[in-house]
Amino acid sequence: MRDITLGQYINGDSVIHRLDPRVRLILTLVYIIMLFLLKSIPQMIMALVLILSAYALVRIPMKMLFKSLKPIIPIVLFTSVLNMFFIGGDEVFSFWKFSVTRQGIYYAVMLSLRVICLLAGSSLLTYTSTPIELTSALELLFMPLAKIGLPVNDLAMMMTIALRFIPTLLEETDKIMAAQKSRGANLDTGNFIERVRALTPILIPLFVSAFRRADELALAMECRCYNGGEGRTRLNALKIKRSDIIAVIVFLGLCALIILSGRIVL
Amino acid sequence: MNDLIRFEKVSFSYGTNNVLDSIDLSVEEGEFLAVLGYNGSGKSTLAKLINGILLPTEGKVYVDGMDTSDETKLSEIRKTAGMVFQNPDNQIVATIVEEDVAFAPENLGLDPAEIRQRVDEAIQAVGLEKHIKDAPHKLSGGQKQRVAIAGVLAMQPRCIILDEPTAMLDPKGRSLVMGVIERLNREKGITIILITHFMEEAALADRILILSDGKVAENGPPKEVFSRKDRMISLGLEVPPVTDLTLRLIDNGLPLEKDIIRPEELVEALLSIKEAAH
Ligand SMILES: Nc1ncnc2c1ncn2[C@@H]1O[C@H](COP(=O)(O)OP(=O)(O)OP(=O)(O)O)[C@@H](O)[C@H]1O
Ligand SMILES: [Mg+2]
Repeated sequence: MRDITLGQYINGDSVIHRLDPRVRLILTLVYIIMLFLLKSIPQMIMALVLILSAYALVRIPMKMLFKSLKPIIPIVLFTSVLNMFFIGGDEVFSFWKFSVTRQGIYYAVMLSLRVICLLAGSSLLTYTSTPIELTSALELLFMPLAKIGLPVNDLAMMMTIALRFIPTLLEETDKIMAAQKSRGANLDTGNFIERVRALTPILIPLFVSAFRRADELALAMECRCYNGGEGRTRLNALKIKRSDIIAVIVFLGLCALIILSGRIVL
Repeated sequence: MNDLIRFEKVSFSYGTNNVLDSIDLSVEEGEFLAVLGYNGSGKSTLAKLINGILLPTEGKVYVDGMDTSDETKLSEIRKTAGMVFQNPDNQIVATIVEEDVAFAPENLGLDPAEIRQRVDEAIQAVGLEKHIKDAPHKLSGGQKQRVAIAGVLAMQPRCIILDEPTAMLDPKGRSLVMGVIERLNREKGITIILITHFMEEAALADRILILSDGKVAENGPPKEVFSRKDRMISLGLEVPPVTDLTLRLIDNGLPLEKDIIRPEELVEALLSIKEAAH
C-alpha cells in the first residue's frame, strides 16, 4: 500500500527538493497565475518547456506526469472540441451544420496547453513536498493572520495530527471490518441502501475509538507541556537560504520573460 | 527533606466514586517505585494526580516542593514529572520520530540547537538512533513505546511516571522497554514510578506500593512484599513466577530462602545447593 501520509511525494535530493517549501509553494502559485496571463500559443509552449525542464531537474520520469494527466484528458478533449465548433471567426472547414474556425482551433489548443501546464505545475509541488512540509509552509505564510485572530498554530497542529493518525485509523478500520465480517456482517452485497446500512457497525466503533484516542492524545500532549501554539519553537525551523533567493530570482525572471515576449511578438 | 514527590492525606473521587482515600506517600529522588493493585484500584488516578492532570479532592500533592494545584507552576511540574502511557499509538504526535521527540522541547520554547541536542540524547538513551527519520506508524510496538519515552526524556524530567508501559507489547518489546527504564534509573538517576500488572517487572524496583480499596495496602521492598504469597493473593495479585516456583520447591523440601524474586537469584541458590551436594 502506498503511504498516504506522504501523498504523492517522491523522495529525492534535487535542487527543487532542497528549496524551502514556502518558496516552492509561492513559485507554484506564481506559475499558475502566469498561465492565466498568457495570450498566445508560443508563450504557452514556453511555459510548458519551463515546467518540463523543472521535471527534468527533479528527474521525475515523464511517465509519472502522463499518469497524472490521464484522468483529465477526456475532459480537456471534450471542452476543446466544443470550443472549436462554437467560436465564430474565419472558417477553416465545415461539415454538416458545423463550421470550424481558425480562432476556434487556436482557442482549443490554448486551453489544452493551459490545463496541461496547470496540472504539471501543481503536481510538481506535491511530488517534491511532503504534506508536513506544506503544512509548516502554510503555517508560516499565514502567520501574519494570527494577529487578527486566525488560530494558525492550532490549525497547523490539527493538520499534523490528522496526517499522523490517518494510517492508524485506516489500520483500525481494516481490523473492525474483519471483526464484523467474522461475526457475519455482510458488507459487500445488497443494494445501495443495504450497503450503506452495513457501514454503521463499522463507523460506530471507529468513531468511539477515534474519540478515545483523541482523549488520550490530548492528555499525553498536556503532559508534554503543550498549551496551544504560543511560544512554541521548532526543531527544524524553516530558513530561507541563498539558494532559495537565487531560485526565486531565476524563476521570476523566466516568467517575466515569457509574459513580456507576448508583448514583443504581438 | 529529599522527597521529590509527596502526597499529604490525598483523597480523590470521580463524582461519588471515591477512588483514593487519604493517601500519604513520598518518593525520594532517584528511587524506583513500582505501583501495583487490581483493576480499578486507582493506580492511573494516582499517576494523574502527580503531574496535575487531576487535582486531589482533599489533601495536597507536591512535586519538588511545588503544589500541583498552583496553576502558575503547572508547566514546571509537568517538566519535572513526565508521564508515559499504555498505548504508544495514542501519545505520538508527529509523523517523524525525531519531530515527535522534539515536541516537548518545542513546547518549552527552547532554541533549535538546544532542541537538536536534547532530541539526539533522548533518542540515543532509548537506542533508536537508526529510526530517527522513520514514520512512527511503521515501528513495532516496543519501538513506539521507546519513542514515547524519548519524547518525555527530551523534557529532561527528574521523574518519569509510566502507566503500564509494557501492557501492549510482546516479550521482546517488553524486555527492551524495561531495560531502558532500568538504565534511566540506574545511570541517569531519574526517579521512576512504574505502574504495572507484571510482578517480574515490579521485582526490579527498589520499593513496591500496593493500592487496595483506595488505601495503601503495602509499602516496602519487593523481597518483603513478595515473600508473603497469601497476602498478595488476598490483594488480588500474585507473586512473580520465579517466587512461585521457589515456594513450590520449598514445599518439596529444597532448602531455599522464601524471598527469591528474580530468576538470577534462584539460579544462584540452586547452584549453591548443587555445590553443597558434591
Ligand atoms: N474519568 C473517569 N470518570 C469516572 N470514573 C473513573 C474515571 N476514570 C477512572 N474511573 C474509575 O475510578 C476507579 C479507578 O480507576 P483507575 O483507572 O485509576 O484504576 P487503575 O488501577 O488504573 O485500573 P487498571 O489496572 O484497570 O488500569 C475505577 O473504578 C474507574 O471506574
Ligand atoms: Mg490504569
